Amino acid sequence: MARKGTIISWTIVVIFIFTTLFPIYWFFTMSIKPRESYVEYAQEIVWFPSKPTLEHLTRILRFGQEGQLDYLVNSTIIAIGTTALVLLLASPAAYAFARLKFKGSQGMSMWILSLRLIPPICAVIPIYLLINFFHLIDTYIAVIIAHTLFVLPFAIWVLRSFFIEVPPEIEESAMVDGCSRWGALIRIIIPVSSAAIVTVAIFSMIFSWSEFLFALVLTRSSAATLPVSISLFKGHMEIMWGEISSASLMATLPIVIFYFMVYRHLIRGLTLGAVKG
Amino acid sequence: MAYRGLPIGTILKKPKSSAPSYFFVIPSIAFLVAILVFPTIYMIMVSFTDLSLASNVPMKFIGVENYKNIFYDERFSSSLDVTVLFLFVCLTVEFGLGLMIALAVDSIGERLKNKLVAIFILPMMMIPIVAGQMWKVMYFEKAGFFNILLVYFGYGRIPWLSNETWSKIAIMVTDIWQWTPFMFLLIYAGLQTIPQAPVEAAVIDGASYLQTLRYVTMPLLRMVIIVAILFRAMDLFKLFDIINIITGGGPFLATETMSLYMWILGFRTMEIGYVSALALLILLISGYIVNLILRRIYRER
Repeated sequence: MARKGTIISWTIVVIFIFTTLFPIYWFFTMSIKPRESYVEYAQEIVWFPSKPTLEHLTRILRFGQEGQLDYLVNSTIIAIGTTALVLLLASPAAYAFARLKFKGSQGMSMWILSLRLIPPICAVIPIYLLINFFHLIDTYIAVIIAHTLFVLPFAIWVLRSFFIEVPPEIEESAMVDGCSRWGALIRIIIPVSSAAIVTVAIFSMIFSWSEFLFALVLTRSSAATLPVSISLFKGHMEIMWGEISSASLMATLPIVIFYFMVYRHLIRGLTLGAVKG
Repeated sequence: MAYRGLPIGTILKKPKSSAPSYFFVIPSIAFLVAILVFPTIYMIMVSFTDLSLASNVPMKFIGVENYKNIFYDERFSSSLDVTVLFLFVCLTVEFGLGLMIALAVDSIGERLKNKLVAIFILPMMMIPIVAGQMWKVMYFEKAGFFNILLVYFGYGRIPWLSNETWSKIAIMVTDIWQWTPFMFLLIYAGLQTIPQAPVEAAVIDGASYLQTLRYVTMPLLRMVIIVAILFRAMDLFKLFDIINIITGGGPFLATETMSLYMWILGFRTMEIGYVSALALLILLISGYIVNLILRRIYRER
């Protein structure tokens, strides 16, 4: 019985390892396959190209017309800007919701949380109207504001779940020694939970880096992020696969590294602190 | 304020300049109000007009006309059907597969577990746009993987993205590939935290594997499962990125979800007045449901 169970388990695991990894492998090897291998009707499965080429990668690793490095820079600026703004706004709020009891704190925190869960398509229209009104379409600040709006509720709730775990005695003793609440936050809570802050920062970057809808609506070309540029290759599908794959590879690598950096807190981050992993 | 652990009679220094508690939340609230609440109020006003960014005709007030039109909008109801179909099929399959993989990994030797988890959650790390392109390459008619495979085994090519049924399947497979890992990860984490005693007791009492799963393990995982399903349901409700990439809503609206339809209305045909009314309606309904559920999940935390 136990043996039979193990065999079934292994079968399931092996099948799913294959189905999980295969599309990733197939797609990313597109970046080194020569153009001839996919423009015509293909007859057989090429597991690995016999003559790998770096033609596509070198084409996208450039600034200007065909290059993707401009978008890499845009994505980086927007992700860092979003993260900085989010941490600045979220840390005090998360601290207040974790520690202080004040009138309306419950209602306010619930309202903030529910913002994270409304369909973005409903928010994108008012935001677009706002950004358009101030003539900020296709600027970094427009995308940073939009991303902050979506990351902020997440950051507040996840930070809050970390702050609650800091023993209150530490700040209380500091406050006995004459430290103010702000002082306790800046000198005690933030240093003590620096790992949590880094975690939330990385999640913010992942979100901003991957976000598509707002970046698509709020940019044209000069502030477009990598997902937007990767999506716009779609017009000439047949000839651009190598480039799409190379650009995707470039956009994916940092994210995978970031994910493994926050691996320990992945579940907490993914569920806004509802489940502690 | 209680200063615990201090001997009786200790004289406490008054904390200097204790700012009122709500000072801490003012920056966040101010940001959210400025960026979301004011524009939403503007959107409510716009929803009673015929504002269209496609033409230069000044907008005029048309009352509840936009709201009335929603009920006669067949394209909207079709997009709602597609959204609900994707939601139910993907949710069911992702839950089933996620549970299956979680149980399988959980029953495999301790040493490999962490490596397996790291492999299985890789799809989740793909940017949705990248996942979309990845699967588009798989479906591509001329040289996509599936069609090469079909030809290799002597079948004809399938027009994956230009057939109404196949394109729906194509979208669902992509979403299932990318997000089954989420279900897996949460259920697997849940399995690590449940007490072993009740499970062992059930086995000793002669319960079969499936009985133990159904009556002991699943009830212990209840909370995790609710959260996992809820988060997936909300993500599926707003499904946009992969459809935009893979099919763009076609063929013949077969894969056009609500989000995609609203994006087309707002940013392709530019009917801002009408799409504002639609957004507001969905905002109200989803806001109400979300609040109801959230209060139940987070209440005790």
